Amino acid sequence: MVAVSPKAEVSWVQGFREKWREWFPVAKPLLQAHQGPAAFKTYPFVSFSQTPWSPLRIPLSEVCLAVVSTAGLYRKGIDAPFADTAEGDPRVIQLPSNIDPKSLDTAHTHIPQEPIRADVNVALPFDPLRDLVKEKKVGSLALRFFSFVGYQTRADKVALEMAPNIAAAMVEDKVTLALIVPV
Amino acid sequence: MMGNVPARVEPVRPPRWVYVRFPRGAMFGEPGNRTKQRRVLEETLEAAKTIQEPGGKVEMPYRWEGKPISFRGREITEGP
Repeated sequence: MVAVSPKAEVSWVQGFREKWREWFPVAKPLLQAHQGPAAFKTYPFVSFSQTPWSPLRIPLSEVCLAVVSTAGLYRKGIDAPFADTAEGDPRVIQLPSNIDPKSLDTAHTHIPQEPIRADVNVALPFDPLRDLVKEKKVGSLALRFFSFVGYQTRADKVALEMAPNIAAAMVEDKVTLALIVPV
Repeated sequence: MMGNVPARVEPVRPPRWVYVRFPRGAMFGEPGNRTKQRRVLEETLEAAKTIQEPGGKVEMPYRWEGKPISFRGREITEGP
């Protein structure tokens, strides 16, 4: 993926990194023991003062739609599964939008995996999306969808690496509407 | 954007978001329930048009109709 400089406001990053370096050594044993609520009581959550906004000026029947899923989906036998680390694996996997959902698995260990393994559409609705395109209710699906694990403690990496790289790929693919589906 | 925990979504300040009352990991409803998945998806995409102000939210009326999901000793039908 093309690396780009983020255009979003990032003045919070340096302060966050300092606080994260204090937080993580104390939180790590709690995180490894799956005691998330206790660990995140002192996490340096970032708050924002602005809401990014761009009105959708074209009908849905003309959009090129990309989906970002934080369900940790990966292609069995092709992608290495996301690592289960206390810090959070910052990799982003690009999924072809025409992929067979049955070829995917989830590596997200902080969510119930059974529903996704029974039907990936509960987390990323490939089949309903294809129906909407076939019926011309949605213009087209972008070439690539994006998958990562929603469990991330490095908000700075999300802001400076993961999100800008996803955005750059969407620009390449001429995406006009992005749907973010956290878990 | 979609979310099932308003307290976690709102501080992020998404441009527009849809509040779904489903368990974590299953934002589009029960496995195999294609009708519901389609409905949630279609209404979520419609919200991209109907939400006219930054940070606007639409709340979905749908509820989990399957067995509660077991996760780390808890039975979940909504949220985390």
